[in-house]
Amino acid sequence: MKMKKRLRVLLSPRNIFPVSMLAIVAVFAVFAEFIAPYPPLKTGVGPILSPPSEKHIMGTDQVGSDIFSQVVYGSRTALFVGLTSGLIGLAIALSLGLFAGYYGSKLDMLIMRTVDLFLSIPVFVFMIVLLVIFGSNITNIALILGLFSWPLMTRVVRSQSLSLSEKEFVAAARAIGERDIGIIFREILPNVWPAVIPLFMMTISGNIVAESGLSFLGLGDPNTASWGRTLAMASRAFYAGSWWGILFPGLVLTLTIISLNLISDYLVSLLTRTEK
Amino acid sequence: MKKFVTFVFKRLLAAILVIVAVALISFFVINLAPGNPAVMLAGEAASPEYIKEIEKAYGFDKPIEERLFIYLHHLFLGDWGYSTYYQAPVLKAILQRLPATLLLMLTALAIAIALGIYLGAVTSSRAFSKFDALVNYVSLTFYSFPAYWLALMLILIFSLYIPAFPTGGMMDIGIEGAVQKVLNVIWHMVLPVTTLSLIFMASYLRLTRQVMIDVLSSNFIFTAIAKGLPKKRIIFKHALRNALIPVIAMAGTQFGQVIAGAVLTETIFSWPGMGSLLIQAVTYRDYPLVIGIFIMTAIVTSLSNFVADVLMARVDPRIKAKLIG
Repeated sequence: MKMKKRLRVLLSPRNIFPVSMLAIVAVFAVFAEFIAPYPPLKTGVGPILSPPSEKHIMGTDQVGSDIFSQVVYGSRTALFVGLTSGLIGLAIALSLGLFAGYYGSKLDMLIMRTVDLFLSIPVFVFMIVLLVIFGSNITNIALILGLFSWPLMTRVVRSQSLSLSEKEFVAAARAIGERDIGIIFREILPNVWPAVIPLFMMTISGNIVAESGLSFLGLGDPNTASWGRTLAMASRAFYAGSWWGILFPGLVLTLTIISLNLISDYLVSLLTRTEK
Repeated sequence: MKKFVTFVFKRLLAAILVIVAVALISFFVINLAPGNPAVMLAGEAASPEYIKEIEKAYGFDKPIEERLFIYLHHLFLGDWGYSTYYQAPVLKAILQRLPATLLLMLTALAIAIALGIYLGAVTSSRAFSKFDALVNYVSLTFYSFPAYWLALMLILIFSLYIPAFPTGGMMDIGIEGAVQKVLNVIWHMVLPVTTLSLIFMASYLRLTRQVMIDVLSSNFIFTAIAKGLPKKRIIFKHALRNALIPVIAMAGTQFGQVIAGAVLTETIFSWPGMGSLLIQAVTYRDYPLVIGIFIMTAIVTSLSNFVADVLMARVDPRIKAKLIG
């Protein structure tokens, strides 16, 4: 019942565009082997710098690789990095934020000051430092992005946990003798989701942009297709007039980000409306 | 007044703590790195003699806590190592590039803040109308735009198809005369500044709109409406003045992200700032320069946070009361 209602809300006219865009990217990511017409990074599968044609619908780059195939496989990289790093961040945020908000006092102080510190260091530059020193591959990128994704989410989880821990139903659970761990996971956690999920989606979209940006700068994985890597190749073929290498991968990237942010924005507006 | 001095002092202390924390982080990154930490301090292209020299200067025969102290001492004295790529001391190389970054960033921020506040105020006065929804949609779109893709598209359209602006650089070679030089730099700034300000603007617009909607429903606005003041005057004079403060506060705290945007934008437009220097340092595995830029961005970020905090407390009695008590 509840599930059905949620599904209907998600598929309201306003959300048709972002939901279907994300569905396309997800299908690309899962079925890349079947959708991509060529191996993404194989050179010379077509002529060099061919504009979009029947054989290469998004054209080819300067080493004769198929750009559409790179976009398809790039979806996999983007979603893998976005989801992995988002989930790492969420896991850290939940385990720190729930307890900090529930117990308060010194633990809370310590965790929140650490959040402040993380929010005041220039994270993107720091990630570049770490990737240069520890080597850049897709797993490292996902891990590093994950390790920098928790501060904002922790702040939100903590403030929710703090205000929920003072509610009557928590007092009731305490009165019937439930242990703190039980209260945190059974009473508080389910009520934290609505506030965290929009931010979680923003985190994923931010991390997808960061991954593509790092790949663009050459700090990505040279052996994995990525939207940023394709854009970097194309930006070097600018003067040969390769607009297709810039337009298509960038459009897919941007539409994915817009879709994630639109849905996140929509969830926030749902939330504030029910609060009023 | 005494309270205010204590407040300023506390904030300054917090800023310094962040910088010290970043210095500590750098030390641990250098020492946890695979391979010889001396190479991290000297750069991959350094000669064996120079690495030996570094090992001696940073006390590699001493225990780690003593090495930490030596490292911090070097940083504090301004000895941030020698950049083999730039052929200059790291700090000197960074300080040479910093003004170009600040010029680009501050111009883009100023335009973004002015436009964002103006559009936010206009849309808030027609909140929940179709126009508002449209602006909101467009601003979310720009908010979502990866800055570097916007930059590439602008070059594609306005430098390659319509050759109106240069594809990169800061000034053409052989320009004579002060006025011509300034004009030439401005001409080079158009595309990168457009990129950055469009993207920064979105968040200011959204915040201004949000705050303005709150302010517009407060009692003093109803009084102004009852007095029969023109709508424009109410919005831009009475309400906006009260909505400005959180927006400007955000400018200070956003500086870290602003610098991140600079790395990609500067690289694409070959703007000779700190961001493009970082990428060159990365390409040449010039570790001291990479770490030096990390520390410098932290310094710039925490100082701008500090200035924003103090300004806010000085300007707004409400914030003053909240922060200082």
